[in-house]
Amino acid sequence: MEVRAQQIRKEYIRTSRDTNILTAVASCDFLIPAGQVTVIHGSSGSGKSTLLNVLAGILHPTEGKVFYDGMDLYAKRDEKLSGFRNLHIGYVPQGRSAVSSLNVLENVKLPYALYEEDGSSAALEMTERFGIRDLCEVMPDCLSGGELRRMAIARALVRKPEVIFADEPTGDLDDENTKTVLDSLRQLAKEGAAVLIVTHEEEAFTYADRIFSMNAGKLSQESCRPG
Amino acid sequence: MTNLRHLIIRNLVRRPVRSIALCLLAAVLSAVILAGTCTVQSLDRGFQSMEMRLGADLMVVPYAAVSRKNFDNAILLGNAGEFYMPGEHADRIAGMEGVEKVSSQFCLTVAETDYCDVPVSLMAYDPRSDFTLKPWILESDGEDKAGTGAVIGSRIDAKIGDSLSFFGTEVKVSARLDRSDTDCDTAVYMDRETIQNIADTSGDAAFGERVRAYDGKAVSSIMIDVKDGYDVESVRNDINIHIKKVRAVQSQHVLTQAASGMGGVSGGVRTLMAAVWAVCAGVMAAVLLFETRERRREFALLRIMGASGRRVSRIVCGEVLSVCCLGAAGGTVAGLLLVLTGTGRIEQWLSLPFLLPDTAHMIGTVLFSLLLPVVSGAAAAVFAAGRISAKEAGILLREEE
Repeated sequence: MEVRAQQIRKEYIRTSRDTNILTAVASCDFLIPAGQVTVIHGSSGSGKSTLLNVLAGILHPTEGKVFYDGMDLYAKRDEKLSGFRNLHIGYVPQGRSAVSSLNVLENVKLPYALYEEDGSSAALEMTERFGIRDLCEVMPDCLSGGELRRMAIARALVRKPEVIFADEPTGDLDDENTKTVLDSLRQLAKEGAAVLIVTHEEEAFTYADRIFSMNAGKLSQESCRPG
Repeated sequence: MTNLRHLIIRNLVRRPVRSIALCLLAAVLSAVILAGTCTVQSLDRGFQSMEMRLGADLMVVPYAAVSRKNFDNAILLGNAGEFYMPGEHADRIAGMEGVEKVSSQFCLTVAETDYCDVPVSLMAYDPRSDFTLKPWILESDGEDKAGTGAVIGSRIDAKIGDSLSFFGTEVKVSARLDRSDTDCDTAVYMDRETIQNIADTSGDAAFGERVRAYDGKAVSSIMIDVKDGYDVESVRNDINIHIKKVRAVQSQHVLTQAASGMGGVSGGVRTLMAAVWAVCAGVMAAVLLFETRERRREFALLRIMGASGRRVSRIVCGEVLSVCCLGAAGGTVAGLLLVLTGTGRIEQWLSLPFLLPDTAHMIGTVLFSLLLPVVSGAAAAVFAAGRISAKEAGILLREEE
């Protein structure tokens, strides 16, 4: 599944009088091809997380449209859009992202539980893949930053989504786990998924097919892997 | 954990302070609403009961017997006590202008018995002239509803046809009065023949002396029905002027005073209920708003994973409704216990007739006290959930950062 953004722009109103408007993402076209890893990097506050959220269907753009294989994402009503996200989009948020009342295994299978499905085997497989199998019964407040990050990635990938968004996915990880995560994302791309990573880590560049940079809301392409 | 219900339970268990606090709020609200509503309804019913019982327009009792306060109280509670005046007063009053009917009663004694948990008043009355007890007879062994024998109040533990022992003499129960929540409930009324029979067969000298006094026409109270077209106050003044050492009081006057007192108590209870409801609902809304704000990131994560705004609302409302239902059930049970065990104390404290609502009203009150905290909690939850689910996950994440 490919994701295509058409003339999207995102503004935030910073005061109640509509006088102070921040353009987080300037008008742009953007494509996340299926089977490729796309990386966006940029300084803090450059608008890359906002762009990622707009593309992931969790933040309406001020202008423009986002198409998933030609389907207008934001034309869907909330219930349908949410169901679509649950089935087709994996999202790894920045920072701590655990539901504190659930243990690791329950967190990983939460995307299934939200729709009354039992995703135990898929969840166990993911915990195995990201080295947190032994932590299945542990509560999130007992995990390290790295373990939490691996749990969030396992949860994002548990439904084997066709589009994956990762906001600083390797931020809290050591070299070994960084490699595991990036290898996994690369592998998913090889299997046909469209992967978008927003990161500061230069190591991610080596896994990227296309690299973009963002500066003050403006997106520009830096490089493209040949072939 | 395989569904939203489990997630709701986990969230409640993992946040015990919040869960218990909401549960307690709902319980307090339920208990106060139940006890308060029952109190107001009981006062209303007690007052109606008293109004019906006071079939007399005027009541005359010995002047020196009691203070003004106790006097009104005595009328309200249906017993003037062991104070006496000459029985001939009844004949004189019966002959006065404007008087339709006269019926006297005589309090023989107040005694501890095996068949009632409080002291029982033994009252002598005249079934032929009585017009205040007859309307209250619930069941009797005769067609005229009040033959010879004992007419017992509702709290006397006996059935029609049973025999009660008075000073060693057995007296058959001939009629039972309906519940009035006044001293009538713990009184036994007997006609002259029955009392004479007890006096003749018992060896109790003091009781014999009392009966002789009654026989010599001493009375404790005289009930008066005023003829239509006559001013009750004028008849009362006539009695107070022409008959010495008695006091005639208009029942309506006492009722008005009682109604005023009851109105004050009912108003106070209603204000208390409204205040408790406002505080509980306000605190619930504040707790939920604060808490949903604290949990923005968690709700954003759920949205990211594919939970719609409606699903997130279901989680918030499910959590609140679960604890509110639990709290309301506990509070209702506590309120019921309070009402059922504290009726006597409340009546004593208020010095007003207090008659618990009938079963249908009680069921209605219980349902209301169960529903109000749940509805209040649901409204607060919908408000809080609405605020959080109206925001996009991207905005929630941004606010959190």
